[in-house]
Amino acid sequence: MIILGIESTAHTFGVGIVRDSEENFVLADVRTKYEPKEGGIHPREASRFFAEKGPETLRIALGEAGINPKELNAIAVALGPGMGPCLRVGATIARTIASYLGKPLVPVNHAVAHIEIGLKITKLKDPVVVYLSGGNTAIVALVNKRYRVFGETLDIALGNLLDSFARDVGLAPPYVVNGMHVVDICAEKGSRILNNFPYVVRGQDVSFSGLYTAAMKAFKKGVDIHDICLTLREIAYNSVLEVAARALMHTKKREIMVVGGVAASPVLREKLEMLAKRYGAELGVVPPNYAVDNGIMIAWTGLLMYKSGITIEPRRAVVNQRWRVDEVDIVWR
Amino acid sequence: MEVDTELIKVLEEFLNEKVVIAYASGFEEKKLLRGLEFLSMGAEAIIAKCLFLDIDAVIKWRFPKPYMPAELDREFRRNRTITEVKALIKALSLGINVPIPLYTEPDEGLLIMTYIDGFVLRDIIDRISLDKVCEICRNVGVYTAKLHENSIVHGDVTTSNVMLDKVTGKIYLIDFGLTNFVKRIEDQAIDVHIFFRSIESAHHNVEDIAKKCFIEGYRSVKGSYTDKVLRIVDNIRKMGRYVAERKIKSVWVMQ
Repeated sequence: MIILGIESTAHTFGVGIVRDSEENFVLADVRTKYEPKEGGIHPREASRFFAEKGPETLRIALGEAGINPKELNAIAVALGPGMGPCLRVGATIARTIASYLGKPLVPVNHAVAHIEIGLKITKLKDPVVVYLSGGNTAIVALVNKRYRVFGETLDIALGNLLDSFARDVGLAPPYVVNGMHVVDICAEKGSRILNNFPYVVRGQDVSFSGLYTAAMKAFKKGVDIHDICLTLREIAYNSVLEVAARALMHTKKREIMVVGGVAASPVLREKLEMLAKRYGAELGVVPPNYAVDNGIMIAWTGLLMYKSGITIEPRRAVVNQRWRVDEVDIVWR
Repeated sequence: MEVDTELIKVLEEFLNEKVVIAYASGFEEKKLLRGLEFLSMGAEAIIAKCLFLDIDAVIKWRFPKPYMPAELDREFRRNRTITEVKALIKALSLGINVPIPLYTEPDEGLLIMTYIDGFVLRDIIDRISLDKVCEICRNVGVYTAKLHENSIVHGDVTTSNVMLDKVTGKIYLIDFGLTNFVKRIEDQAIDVHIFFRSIESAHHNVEDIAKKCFIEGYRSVKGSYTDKVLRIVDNIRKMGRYVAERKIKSVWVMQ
């Protein structure tokens, strides 16, 4: 069985081709990334970029896999959550090739795909999932055939907090240098934790907007930037870790898995290792190459879904910018 | 588990301490603390059973978190311990069933309180009758509302923090570790939101009845104020990522 998956939820247009196999399941993995010269991702600009580069990305992927498109069993596409204009480019391309080739179309949730590729790579069975990226901060675990949200951010995401702060104080772009986020690098020279930065954990939820405001205020007052970075990072990371520990104890699961772009942070990873040890759990960190947005994860999740008989008519395959992870029935687990 | 041995180290002085009780007939020497037995480990604390001055007690020890910066960790453990004791005493004075604090050492993150011989709601909710679920949740609603009425938000009203006494059947609210002394309606709504979430995430089958009865209990104390709280609960839920029904009114407010 061979499945082609298309990812276009934010800054990456990715095409992945996978086959149903334990090892060497990736036949092709091509990613075209939109990198704005300044500021964050503008959805319109990103979608224009996707429309321009999409067909070429697809062609390269098919060439890499060395297959005739007719050999594909199904086309999978991320229909959400994400930025509308970006999602529509991927959806349009997927609907077109599915119709043209007469192949079934599989609707994939981007967040579910992050989890599924993580499970495939880390070989964990039933972990508490810590999903950290630019747009998402959520602690998720499988209960009764759904990835239920145990805790999430009530305002901005962790990646968004770090990126926005770095950008607004002039540390970025680039956001990541040698695999480290610039806020992590800046924090290394910090020497003290500042007072009066809000640590907000409400039950299982976190909130970062107040932290961002406190950090910007301190910056404008001329407080040492390294101390601000250190405080911001420690409070942000630790609030996520506290919620993760709670989910671990609440669900009584013995594994913890980190997915999403922020998972690449070595500082966070070290903290998670200590946390896992403290609570007697096994830790799996999805390697950066698979933790960031890519087409492989869409294709792989599409494969699991297709094997369970989930497909969608192309004319019904509309995008959903706010498609929550807990709205998807996980029938294959 | 390594946390166990760490706790014994913290308690070392206690375990060796003796009290002398004077009777008319003479003196009796007793150990201050004995019969230590580990019960469970939570996210932020370990719970052990013991006899403290011959009273059945639990020790709640907020253990150090190696992944936190030491100063931040110490401050959190200290503050949360102090807050918990204050909140427990206030709750007792309001007639809410909670453990009675017996001893505390905030700098160590240590709290000793009376033991409740009971079941945790989370563990039994799927095998008790719907009427019982309703009764318990209604009580939790009453407790939560009473706390709110007195400017306390519990901060973690989940099914893991509600206990049912094995003998008396009394319903207890435990773990005031995240309590705040505030009267903002937003914070009160978060309490309600957290309870709903804990029901939705782990006890899907009883979701409707549990929420309905909780609201009934809450309303019996707070009256029409309840609707204001529920409206904010709705807004909080819409703040979560990618909530599809941002414009749909909640069924709970319309009832």
